Amino acid sequence: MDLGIRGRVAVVSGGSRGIGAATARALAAEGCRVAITSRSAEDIEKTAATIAAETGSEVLGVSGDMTVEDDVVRVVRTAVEHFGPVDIAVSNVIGHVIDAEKEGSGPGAGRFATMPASAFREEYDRLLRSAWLLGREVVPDMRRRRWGRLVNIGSGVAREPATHLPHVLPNTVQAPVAGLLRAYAHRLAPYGVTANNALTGSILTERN
Amino acid sequence: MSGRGFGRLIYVGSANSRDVQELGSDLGLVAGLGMRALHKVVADECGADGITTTAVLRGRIATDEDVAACAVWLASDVAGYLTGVTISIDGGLASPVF
Repeated sequence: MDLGIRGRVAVVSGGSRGIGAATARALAAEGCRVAITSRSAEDIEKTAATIAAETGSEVLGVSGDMTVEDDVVRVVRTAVEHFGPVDIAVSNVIGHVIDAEKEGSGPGAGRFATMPASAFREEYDRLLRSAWLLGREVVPDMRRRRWGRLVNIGSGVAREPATHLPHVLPNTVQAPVAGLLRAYAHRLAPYGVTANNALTGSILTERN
Repeated sequence: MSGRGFGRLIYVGSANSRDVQELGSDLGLVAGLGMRALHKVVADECGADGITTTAVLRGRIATDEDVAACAVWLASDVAGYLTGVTISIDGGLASPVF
């Protein structure tokens, strides 16, 4: 399929496996030059080499923690130095995992009544602040060049908390993430920049 | 509240959290959505213990008394079957059909 994005520069966070790696692979298959990032340098370089070999596109692995401001700045700067201004940014950061054995399983498992305050703040850093930081770093070039795509890998619990799972953290934080993407969409539309939030349900990945 | 089988949690926020406003605060929207999602989660988790939670969104020209009247009614015994809902105190300005 030709989606008309050949040659575009993309940054994908959480890119070493799962949805992030699959997104990076699809972008590379469309002819994008892709910078992928994750916290593990070893994992991200391995995935980058694999996707580059599979697609024949240029793929750069950059290690970094998207909840750390300096890391986000460095990841975007590295991508720009290698490929040029970023056209496409995909934010895909996993939420917190708390005592999965006691509290159920999956990202952000846990109950409101027993939630440590630090976990609450960390979930905001992971899901909301990381998406905002990545947007902040790439939006100026997108606006200037009158083209850009911001995509966040969010969750369907943004619409309605999932009551069948004890996931208080994503249930609470995914709605503000949706609000952030909506605000980006509204403010950036006049500049040819779109912002969308993909609301995922249950996804079969390596984590399952 | 859980031990006594009765509780009322009432979160008061801004009507800005309904959607992006031309002149509104984007951060207010984001933060307000966090509050509203949290109250839904608490409603679900604590409902069986007789605890209700509601979010009251204050419109720009609502008075303190307008908000207080709603909050006190929500705190009352007769509002015991209302939980997890968001109510806008805005004179009908931003009230959709549903």
